[in-house]
Amino acid sequence: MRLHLLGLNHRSTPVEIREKVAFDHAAVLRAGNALAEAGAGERVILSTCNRAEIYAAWPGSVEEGREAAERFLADFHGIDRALLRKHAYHEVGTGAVTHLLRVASSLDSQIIGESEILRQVREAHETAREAGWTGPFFNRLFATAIETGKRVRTETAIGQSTTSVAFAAVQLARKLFGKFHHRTALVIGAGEMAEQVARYLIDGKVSHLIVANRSREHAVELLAALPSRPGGVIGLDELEDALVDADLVTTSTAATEPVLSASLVRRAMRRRKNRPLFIVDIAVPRDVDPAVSELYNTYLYHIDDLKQVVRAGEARRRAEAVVAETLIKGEVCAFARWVEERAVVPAIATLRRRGHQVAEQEVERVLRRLGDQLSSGDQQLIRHLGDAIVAKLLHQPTVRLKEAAANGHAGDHVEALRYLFALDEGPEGHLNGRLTPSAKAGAEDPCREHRARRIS
Amino acid sequence: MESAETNPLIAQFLIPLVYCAGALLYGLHFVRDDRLSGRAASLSLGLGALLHLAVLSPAGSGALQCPVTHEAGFLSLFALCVVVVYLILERQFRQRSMGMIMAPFAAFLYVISVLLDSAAGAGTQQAVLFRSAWFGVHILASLIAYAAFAFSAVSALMLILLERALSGARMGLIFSRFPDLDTLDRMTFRAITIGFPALTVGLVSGAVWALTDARQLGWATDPKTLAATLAWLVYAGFLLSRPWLGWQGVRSARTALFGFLLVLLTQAAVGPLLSGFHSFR
Repeated sequence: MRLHLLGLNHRSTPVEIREKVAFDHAAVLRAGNALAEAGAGERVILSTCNRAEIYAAWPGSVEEGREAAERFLADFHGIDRALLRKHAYHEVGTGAVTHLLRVASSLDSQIIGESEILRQVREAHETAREAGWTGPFFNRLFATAIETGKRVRTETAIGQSTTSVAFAAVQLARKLFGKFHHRTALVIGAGEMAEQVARYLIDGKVSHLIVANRSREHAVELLAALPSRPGGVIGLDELEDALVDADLVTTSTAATEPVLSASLVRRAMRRRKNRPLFIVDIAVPRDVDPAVSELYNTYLYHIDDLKQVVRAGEARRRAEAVVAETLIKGEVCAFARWVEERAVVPAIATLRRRGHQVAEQEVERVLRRLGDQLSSGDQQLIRHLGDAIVAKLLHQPTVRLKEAAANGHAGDHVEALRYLFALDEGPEGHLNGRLTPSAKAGAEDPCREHRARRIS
Repeated sequence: MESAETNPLIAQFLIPLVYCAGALLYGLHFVRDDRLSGRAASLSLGLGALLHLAVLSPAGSGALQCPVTHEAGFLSLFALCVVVVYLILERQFRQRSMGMIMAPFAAFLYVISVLLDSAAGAGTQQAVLFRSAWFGVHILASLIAYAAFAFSAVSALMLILLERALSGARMGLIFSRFPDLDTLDRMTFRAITIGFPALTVGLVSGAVWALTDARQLGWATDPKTLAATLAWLVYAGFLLSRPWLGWQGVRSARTALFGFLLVLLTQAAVGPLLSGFHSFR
């Protein structure tokens, strides 16, 4: 089995396709089970508004694994495989590990340095672990990713010009309205993203805050968690009236149909006498009909538009990203070393077991033939001799293997050992031996420098 | 221009220098966006305006007469109006980004007036007529109106540019340096609420002057009068469209630009090109 990653993100894929391959929580649970039926081993599904990625162990060759992953994703969402192949990216082994660590460190985010993604990676792993889809390999992999994400945040200045999608939204609104103190904010959807946006708006001193949600309880909870502002909670059926009063609207519901249709917004605009209306749609699939942006004095931004907003602090964050890449490289190598070290111990144990088995068989054969002529002391001696020869013979290989593991290149030796001594592959196959090098053309071994440093 | 004779050094060198320095400082402020360059720019333009006022005022010129007897004086007074209107609105909105256009515009007007002044001799036979108070009010009110309309046109243009940047979520220099859309909208509106009454006064006083002092016919059908009346109607429409039609933002800004286009027509095309009632010759 090999570690494969198949994914689509904001760079590789336009939102129209991305929203088709997004997994909500229920879909993640279904997909996890479907993956097992499709033959995958350990697996984690990471689905955010900017990406949908499947990390899974697939049997067979690199190409077979890729085929299986693509077939699964296309069938699950009912989309064309050719289309998927055009937009999806695929990685194996170290390439997949590097990708995950970059994602967790927000280097692959639309807004480099945003903190949301780290939480999303943690939650994706949590979900998979609770469902029993992960084993020691994936648990270690995701723990490494989360640890790396934290290190990047604390050891570099990447998160200092804090820019999340929510912050970007507020910046745009600021350019439209200036001060917010006579403005009413309407937050549609009571998820975490909605809370983040609401917090920024309250920091910006909006005078009124309305929360609209399908479930009133969640909306009340959100409102209670925020600094108090006049306003209140409404249901999704009262949106038109709310739009007449509200100037800043954010939507982040998980609804599959648009929550704000063009005709609804048009009616509301007429009633509010065309005063400018600012709408940010953070949801995938979209909450607001794109035709709304054609309406006079209506400013509609989808999550894809928001990346532009943060260009300001980007140069600095890019510089920090270079530092982060080095840090990530180190973590990828440490993980690769762990995988190899982990493979060494069972390999040595199997080898020794095999050696002692052979010795025991041979000793028993000799003793059966000579048993009567030997004293019990001599028999003991011969038994000991067999074990001693095996131990002596295997001592040097054991030491060398452990050294190689510590230096991060035990993979080749373990493979050679398993081949030469015809040892079985073990249940997890490649996950338990050596990470497949990245399949990407021109991809370098990320650990070469590290190895060279350790050896010298 | 008598003032130029009394204070030739100030009028011909110092004022243009201070205005140009102001224009450059506003440009610098736009690029650097720091407090120091902004204050220096405002100070420089304010100083220029004071000197300019001193030179143009009856005390400065040493004679009680309207300084506007030909194009040069007209341009010089217009430059002053532009600067004063701009500075008032700058203070009111605490917003200097318009200065990048308004200050160079005023400096340009002033420099042209100095060049024209040195090319043509001052005073014509018509100067006698121009001593009328109605005429003074007509000229001053019209120029204040035009200055305010120029300001509104600049803020309207900026609004349209910013609106485009906002719609496309493009975050370039326009996004980072222009004031927010709401402020630009209010600035455009405010400038027109200054310009519109001033134009009304200008039109009425002009008519009164033509009927009483000048006693000339044809003023009502003069192209300049017609264009100004048309502009007046457009600006009236601008002011009414807000409460009646809920026009705000881009539609308002386009109306403001159209109004200013008519103003330009009264000045640039009708004035010098057509020989009519408003011709200086």
